[in-house]
Amino acid sequence: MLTDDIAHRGEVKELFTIKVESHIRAFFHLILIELVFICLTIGNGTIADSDSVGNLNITFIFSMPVIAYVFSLFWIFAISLKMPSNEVINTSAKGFSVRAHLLADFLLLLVISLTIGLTMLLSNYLEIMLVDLLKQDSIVMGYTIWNAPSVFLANFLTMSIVAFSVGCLGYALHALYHASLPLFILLVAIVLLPINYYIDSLYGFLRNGIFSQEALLFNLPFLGLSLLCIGLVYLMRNKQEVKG
Amino acid sequence: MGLIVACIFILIGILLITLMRRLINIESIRKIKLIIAIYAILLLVATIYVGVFKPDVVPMTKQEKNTIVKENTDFLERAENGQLKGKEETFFVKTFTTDVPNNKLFITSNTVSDIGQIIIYMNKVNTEKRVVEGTVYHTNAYYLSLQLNESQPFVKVDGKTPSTITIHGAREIDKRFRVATDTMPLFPFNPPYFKGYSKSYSLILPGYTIIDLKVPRGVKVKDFNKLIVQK
Repeated sequence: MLTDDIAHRGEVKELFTIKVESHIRAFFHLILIELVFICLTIGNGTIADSDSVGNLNITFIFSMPVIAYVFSLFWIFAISLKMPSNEVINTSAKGFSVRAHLLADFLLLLVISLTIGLTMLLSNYLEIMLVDLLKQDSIVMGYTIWNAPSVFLANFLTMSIVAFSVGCLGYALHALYHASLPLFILLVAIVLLPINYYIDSLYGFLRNGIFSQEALLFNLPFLGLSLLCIGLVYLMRNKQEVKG
Repeated sequence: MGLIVACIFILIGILLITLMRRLINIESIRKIKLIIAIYAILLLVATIYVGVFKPDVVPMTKQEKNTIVKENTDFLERAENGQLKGKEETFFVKTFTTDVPNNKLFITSNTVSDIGQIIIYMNKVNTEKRVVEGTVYHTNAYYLSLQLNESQPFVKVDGKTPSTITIHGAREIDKRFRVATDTMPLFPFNPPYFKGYSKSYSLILPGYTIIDLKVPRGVKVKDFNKLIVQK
């Protein structure tokens, strides 16, 4: 039993390494997304001479980092949709068990989510540095990792968990689509109908949750969603394996 | 000067696009790994830069802190009692949501809202106006929640949530604009406040932040958006 466990762990580790290598380009794309949005944040501002303080006056729009994050959520969703049927993985990682594949995939999604959380937060500092070097003495700092590490940690966890749940959702949808198309349509309809009906409340919950300090309460539904997706995929794949 | 900077930005943009086009074609995994490593180092440098060159917390004595906390408490009390009624200005509201059972209104704006009593004029197709009153009890750079004084059927107008509202209410004290926040959003976007005016005072305390900003010379207070912290 113990040797089985060790062998399985080794299998997952090996598979995970293969998958990281296969998806290394995805990490590179994330950097590109962040760089583009940093440039857009700087470039989209109103650039004009300040008539009041004598310095260059650049007005920044706050929504750019939000858009960057939403964009990265779409990006992880796209990756997770592609992940189970990635050709490179299918050819280079044959012979591994379904369970090992699932574990490695979710582990990879977790790593990507954590990367999104961390790099999105730190890229703000990169932006600050660039602006500061350009503008000089015109930035009033808010919370940073240095003066409020607990806020940074809360931000990091929230962003990573939300990204992870979006990734898991994409993965589960893909698996469901391949397992049974009618069931997929039925489930999507069941989920979409109440979302459509309660869209105002949902939007309110998201907004209030994001801007409140109840990080745990906000994250719990997303963690629940992630676990639900993981469980769903595991059940479906297990069933397919038994059938096969 | 503005034109020159704009040109510089355009040039940087063109350079970046050219660079990206080359980078996207990279096939070697080793090169990608190298780029990721460089980016990681850049992020690390930026983080250290922010920590070392932009220290924010103003060292203060306990006495000073107590004074500020008391001032802020008085300020909030006066705000709650509606004593801070100042000059009325309109500013743009991006979105708003409501919490009907608790009689609260949540607004996002491209401006920092004032602490104090505000009046909301709701426009529905520019024909209908309703006035509701309440007290702001929670505000930060782009978020505001308002506790209404009494239950008011403002949430739905003819069964639909109005698409636009205008908030009136701005305040100026001795050419300074005070921003008091009792929380910061749990997102990466907790400000760095970028603006061409200087911070005269900043204090970060557990639970809330107080920032006083000097109104730049030549900026009219009525030009609310110009005064406001963005980002």
